[in-house]
Amino acid sequence: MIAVPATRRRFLRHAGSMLALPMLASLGPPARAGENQRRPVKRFVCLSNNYGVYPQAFFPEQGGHDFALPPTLAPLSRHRGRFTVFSNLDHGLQGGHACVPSLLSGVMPVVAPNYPEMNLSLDQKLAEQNAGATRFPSLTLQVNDANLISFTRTGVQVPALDVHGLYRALFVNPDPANRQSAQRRHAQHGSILDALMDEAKSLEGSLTAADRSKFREYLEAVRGLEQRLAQESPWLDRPKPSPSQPEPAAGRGTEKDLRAMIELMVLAMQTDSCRIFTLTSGFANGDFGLSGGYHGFSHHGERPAEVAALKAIEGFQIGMLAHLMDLLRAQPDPLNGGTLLDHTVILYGCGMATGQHTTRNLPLLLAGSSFQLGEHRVLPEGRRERLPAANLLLSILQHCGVETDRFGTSTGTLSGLSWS
Amino acid sequence: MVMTFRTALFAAASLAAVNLEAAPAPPASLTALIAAHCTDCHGPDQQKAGLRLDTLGTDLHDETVLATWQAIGDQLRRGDMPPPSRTQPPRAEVTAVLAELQPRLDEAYASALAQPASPVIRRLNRIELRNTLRDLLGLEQPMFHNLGIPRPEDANGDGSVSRHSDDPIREFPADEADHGFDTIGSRLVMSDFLLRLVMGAAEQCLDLATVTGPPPERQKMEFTAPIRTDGPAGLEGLARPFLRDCDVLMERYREPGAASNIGRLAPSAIAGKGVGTSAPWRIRIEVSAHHQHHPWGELIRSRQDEPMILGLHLINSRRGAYNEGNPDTRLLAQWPVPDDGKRHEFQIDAWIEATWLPWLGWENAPYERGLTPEKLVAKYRPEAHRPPPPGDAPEATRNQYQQEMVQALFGRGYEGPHLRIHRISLEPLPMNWPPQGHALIYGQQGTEPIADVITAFATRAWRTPVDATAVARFTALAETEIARGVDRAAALRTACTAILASPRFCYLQRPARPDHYQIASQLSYFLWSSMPDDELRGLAAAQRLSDPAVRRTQVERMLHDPRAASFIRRFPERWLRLDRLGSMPPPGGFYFHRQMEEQLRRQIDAYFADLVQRNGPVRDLVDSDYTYLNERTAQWIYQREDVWGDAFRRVPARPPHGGGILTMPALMTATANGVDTSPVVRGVWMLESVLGLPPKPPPPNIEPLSPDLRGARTIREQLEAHRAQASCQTCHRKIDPLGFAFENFDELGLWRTHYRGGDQPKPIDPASVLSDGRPIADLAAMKRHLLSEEEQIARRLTMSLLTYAAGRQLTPRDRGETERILRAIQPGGFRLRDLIHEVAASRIVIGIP
Repeated sequence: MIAVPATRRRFLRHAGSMLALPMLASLGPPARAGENQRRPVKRFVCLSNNYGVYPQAFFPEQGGHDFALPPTLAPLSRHRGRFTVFSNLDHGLQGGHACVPSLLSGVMPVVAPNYPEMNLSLDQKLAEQNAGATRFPSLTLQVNDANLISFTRTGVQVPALDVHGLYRALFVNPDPANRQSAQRRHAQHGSILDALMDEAKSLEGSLTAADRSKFREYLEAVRGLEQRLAQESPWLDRPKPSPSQPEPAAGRGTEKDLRAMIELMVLAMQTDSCRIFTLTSGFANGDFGLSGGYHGFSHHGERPAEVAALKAIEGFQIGMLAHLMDLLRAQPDPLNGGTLLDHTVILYGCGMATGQHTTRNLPLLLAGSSFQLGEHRVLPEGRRERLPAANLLLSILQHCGVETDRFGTSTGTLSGLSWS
Repeated sequence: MVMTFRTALFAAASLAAVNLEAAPAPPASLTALIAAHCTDCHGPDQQKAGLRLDTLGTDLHDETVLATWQAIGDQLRRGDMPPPSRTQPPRAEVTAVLAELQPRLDEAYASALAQPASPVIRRLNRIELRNTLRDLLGLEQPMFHNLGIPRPEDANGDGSVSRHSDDPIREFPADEADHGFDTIGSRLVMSDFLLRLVMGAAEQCLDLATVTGPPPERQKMEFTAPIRTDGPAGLEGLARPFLRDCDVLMERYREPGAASNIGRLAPSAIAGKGVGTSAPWRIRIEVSAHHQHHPWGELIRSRQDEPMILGLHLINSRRGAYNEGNPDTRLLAQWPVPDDGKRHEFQIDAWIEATWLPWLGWENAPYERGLTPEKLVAKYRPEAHRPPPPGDAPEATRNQYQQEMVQALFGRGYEGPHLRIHRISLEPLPMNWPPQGHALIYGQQGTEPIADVITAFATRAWRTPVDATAVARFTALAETEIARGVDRAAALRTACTAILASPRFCYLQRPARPDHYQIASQLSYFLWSSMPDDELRGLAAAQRLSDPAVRRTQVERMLHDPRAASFIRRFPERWLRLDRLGSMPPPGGFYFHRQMEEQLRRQIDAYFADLVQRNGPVRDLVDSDYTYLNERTAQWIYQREDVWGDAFRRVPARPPHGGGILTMPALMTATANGVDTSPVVRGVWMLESVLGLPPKPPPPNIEPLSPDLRGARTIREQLEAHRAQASCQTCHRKIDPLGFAFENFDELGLWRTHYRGGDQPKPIDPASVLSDGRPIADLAAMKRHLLSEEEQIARRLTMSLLTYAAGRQLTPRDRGETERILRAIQPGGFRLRDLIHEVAASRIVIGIP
């Protein structure tokens, strides 16, 4: 625990030494802000849905490297060797839909207070490490469904942007008056936080011991917000990159919207506006010529029409994963050399295995970056030998340079998953 | 002061000493009974459920020991243990032993009361935050009438969001809840993310409260017939040219679902604009009603058994004038109008936003979709009737024909039932200038010393007299801003934002020594989910809230206040887990198009509000010979044709739903997942929320059951296989029967007799056998069984109310207070308003005996 300096100024001086603050705009282009960071700079993308997958069409029948591609994974045929499917990994949870938010931590929101980092999700953990290096420490995105998987270390769900919101966040500069008022607001919030910190400390003394431990959250909140403002303020002056494409029209169905979102994500990486993404996609009535709802399809009861609809939705999600990999592979990485795909970890999955509320054997697929991939890893199935899926999360964290030996419900890194 | 403290300390010390000497212990007779009947399974050889009873501690001052003995007593009383397969102790012996146990438990609880309950600091949840900002700043905007969380509107039912709200808490994440309760101090979390949202909400509300310039000029507006100059479609529009002397309502307005304004009547002069100034207005309506008995009754159904009801609504003209597709509309009042043909005047005062306007509708008007003039003419004026021209005739010919028919029908007047609107007037009511909120932020004159303004604001916002040093901090903040060149108003807004983001505003504190201001806040957050008003604050300042009679009067007053709507909505939502409603909405269909979710919530509101208002018994929650319905719920879910109009009203209950709250569609939908139902989910819900006897959580690694929608196996068949395993059977014999009785209700609360799907849908069998062997044939039998559990249901309700109001989970020690309250309300038959009074007076809630 770091001793807390009494004023905001002192705090910021103090914090400056432990935070990777971006350099001021006048000192160089934004891309160089990351220079004082470790290399290679890693990026992370999680693609997810809220209803699991139809497992018979997702999991290959054979383990190892020589597996036949199941129908849902067919779009990945051109990327064989660049992805791995895991079988028998899950978070050991029960609760159907309530498990969806546990995808990137292994921790359900209801039990979060029992964990040292609550239900902090992988992307937000990476964003903390990345704070200040890019305009957006992370982006939480959604297409035609709610993104339920990003949580801060205080257990707060991060609100998500749609296609429209992402485009505006990335490329649309506020007009000068707005920019000025944003700066004023920033300064004003800084002064407010000074007063709040003094106020909170004076109040703390009058509390009982039990209340004081609860009240620590408030002090942490003020400190956290101070940090956040400090990280954001250099970006207020810095112009946003010019978009290479006009704003995509949204609301044209999942096929078009998800593709547009994927392409915007790649632009965000190219311009180094953000390195950490989660994207949940869903279904809008009429997609793929289907009428109905995603949730309804997921309770298919093995009826052929519903199963076919699920396969179409999931196959398209995998198709978009392949599209993302194509795009990243075609782009040089300005920070590390090589291609963007070489330094981007992509995880596809859901915290609920199937729409029938099962949570055993989550659909999890890892792609990209310098992991050694290309197989169907069939992990131990037995109750005692099973490995927690959080071990995969911990491996990803370590791969991205986070020095920790524990994350969420992990018991270690995922053995046999290595990277160069 | 010192003396008092020392005396108190001494008293506490001696009390502790006395207690140590006479620590109550369970009676020997109970120990003997346990040795004879229980230790086979809960003894040295076996410890089923992890429980060993032969080595239990006996010091009832110990909380764990106390909880265990209370549980033993509860299980014996309910006959849950020993299990049916074992020899049962004679009932008389059990009763005698329990009679011995009770006073000792009581004694332990009484001494527990002498120790102060642990204080809890608790963050305001998002609803309380919005309500508090509203009442602090006197905000009247429509979003401050929201009772729940604004949901993104999904007009297509496909998950694509069509519109966002301007509610200040729209971006707030769901508050952390503990067993459904979102008022639990230890559970509610603060974070940098949330603090930023609080600051944003505070800034938005301060802006909303800010006015500029002189008070707006307002003129009285009077609209006399014809109030509506553009005719709607349908019979009413066609009749308009013939019935010119006033506006006539002769059709029912429709519920949401299309874009037409049939049956709605608003002044055309302001239909697309609104009233122009956000202010309080007095709305006067002059109306006459005619011909209740319909001469064309054979073709047009109309209500003969109830008076005509005129409804006054407000609507946001910015969202499509007063079309039925516009969701921003609010029912303001309903008036029955006798059909004596005389003019009657009605009036109501209301805040109307600048872009909003009033519209009138006849709530229980006759309505026949697709009834054309020629059909009526054919039947009632056959001499004027001629067959219609062919469909491919020129338009002019067809129009000509229609004109003829309308002329035949209405040319000689109209003898059918209708309401005539002679006049609508809008009179400006006086308003404070500057308004309350503005004056609070900037001072009445706008020139007062900064320190005075900030002290007044903080005093109000923090709900307690303020400490000068604390206020000085915020004054300094404003002065620093001014020194930096910011103007006075902006500097004050900054300081006020800080005050509203400060812990003294965001948290409710419960110091060990409760004071009058805390009591005021405990009561107001319990019943209003908001801050104390002037009257409560005045009583706190006068130190009068320690007087139980004063508090009782206040609780009565508060329950009659419109702000109590927050309690009426929020408490049942938390207690019965209606927060789950909307998390798994049924896909598409009428549920979306008719905006049913809000209707389902309002039905619960109406039923629960009535129980509170008339001090109804807890039994009425289980079953009653009445229920509350409006047209939408009646038609779409209860499949009844006899309830007309949009307001919920008391109607006789009918099978299959019957009365009570448990079979209402809100509950049936919240305990399903939008696609199918599960007796396990509903059984667990009954045990947890209604009976307060939660089953143990399931063991790990159980695959969830999913009905085979092809119809091969019903959920019952799957559950029977499941129950055959001994480890599952222990809990499922308790859970499943309670759920099966509700299987006839589908995931929307509609009655069904067969499961969907498959070529031969499987019939539903609601029968089951309770864990004690009693058969339950169907829903009616289940309700009878639940009525026999009245006391247990009242106990759970009491504990839920205490939890909700106190802001903390109850501990085993609080059981004594729960039982005291139950005994207090038992003679009256467990009545709800009595219960609320007891809870509001409980030391668990307000901290004083």
